[in-house]
Amino acid sequence: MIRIDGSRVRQLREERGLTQLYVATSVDVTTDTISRWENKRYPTIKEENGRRLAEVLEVELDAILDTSPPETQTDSPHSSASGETRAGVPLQLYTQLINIALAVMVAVVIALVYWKKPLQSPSSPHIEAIRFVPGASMPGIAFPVLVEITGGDQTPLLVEERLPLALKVLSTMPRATSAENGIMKWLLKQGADRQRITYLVRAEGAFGDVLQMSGSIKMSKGPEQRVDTGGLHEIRLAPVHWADSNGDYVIDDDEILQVYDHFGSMSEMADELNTVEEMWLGSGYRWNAKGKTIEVLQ
Amino acid sequence: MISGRYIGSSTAEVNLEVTLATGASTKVIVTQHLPAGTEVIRAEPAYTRYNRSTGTLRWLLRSVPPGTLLLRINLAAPLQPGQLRADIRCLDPQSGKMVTIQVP
Repeated sequence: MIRIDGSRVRQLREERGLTQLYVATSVDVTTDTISRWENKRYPTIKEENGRRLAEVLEVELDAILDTSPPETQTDSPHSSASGETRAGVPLQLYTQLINIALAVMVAVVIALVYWKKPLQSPSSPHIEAIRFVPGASMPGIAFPVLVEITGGDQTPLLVEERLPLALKVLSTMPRATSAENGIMKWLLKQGADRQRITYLVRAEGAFGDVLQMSGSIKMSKGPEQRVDTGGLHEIRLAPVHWADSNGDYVIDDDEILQVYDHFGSMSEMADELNTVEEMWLGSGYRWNAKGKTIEVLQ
Repeated sequence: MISGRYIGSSTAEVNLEVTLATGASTKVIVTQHLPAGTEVIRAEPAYTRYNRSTGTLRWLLRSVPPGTLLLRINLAAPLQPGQLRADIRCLDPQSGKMVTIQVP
C-alpha cells in the first residue's frame, strides 16, 4: 500500500485535461474512487493502482506520492507505547510476520494467474486496450466508440472489434482493414505508445435493448499474444442522447468536455459535435418520438 | 446579433473581440483555431479546453452580457500572418437555430 498526494493527482489530471471518468476507466476503478483519492478520503491505495494512476498522468510514481510524515497513530490496536502488540508479541516481529504472509499470498496469486491464462509472453511489452462507449443512445442516431491502446512498441498490432448485427458501422478512423459480419479489424503497422481507433455506429432496435461488443488486440501470431479489450462493452438503447451521460436531458459542461476530449479531433464527428454543441447552447433537448429526431430546447 | 474580430493582435498575442447584441443568447462557444502544436502561455479568460495536437482552443462561455468581450491568448512563439481563424457559436433566441460566425 502507498500514500498518494490527492491534491497533486488532481492538479496533474486537470493540467492534462483529463476527466475523472477517463482516469477511472484507465486505472480500472470507479469515478467515485478517483474522487476519494483526490480528496484524500483514502489514506492509502494499492501500489498497483498507484502505478497505473502515475502512468495515466504520465509521471513517475514518486511524483504523486504523499511525502508528508504520516499522522501519529495513538489508537492503533496493533501498537503500544512500549512497541509491543496487545498480545505481547514484539511489534517488529509482528510486522515481519504480516509482510511474509502477504508476500506468500501475492506469490500464490501471481502463480495462479500465469498458470491459468498467460495473456502475454514475459518478453512482450505490456499493452492494454480500453474501450469507451456511451452508456445509452437513441436508436437511429449515430454514436462514437473509442478504443485506446497504450504500451505498444514497434510491433504491428491487429485490433479486432466484434459488434452485434444491430450496430451498423458508419465510419472508422483510421480506416478499418476489414469489416464484415460484425467483425472489424485494423492492422496498425507502426506501434506508438498511445494509439486510438474510433468508429461511428448507428444502432437499430427498441428502447431497452442492450447491445454488447467485444474486442481484442494481437501483437503477433499465436493466442498467447492476444489481449482482450477492457473498458466498457455495452450500450443500452434509450431516448437519451449518447453525450448525455447522466440522462437528464441537458448537456452540461462536463459532458461536452468529455466529448471534446475523446472525439474533438475526429473530422467524421463534425455533425455529431455540432449537435452536442447545439444542445449545450440550449437549455436541454427532447426526443421527438414521431419524427425520431432530437429537438433542442431554448 | 453576434460578431467577432481580431483587434490589435501582434504575432505572439491574439486578441479576439466578441460582440453580443442585446437579446442575443448569453451562452457562447468560441473556438480559436491555431496551428497544430502551438504552445499557449496563457489565455484570458482562461480557456475551457486546449488540444495542442490539433491547435483547437475553446472557451465555453456562460452568462455573457450584451456588449463586447475580449478574449486574449499569449503564445510562446509568433504566428505567421493569416494563421488565425475562429468560430463563434450561439443559439439565436428568435429562431432557435444555431448561429456560427467565422472570424475573419
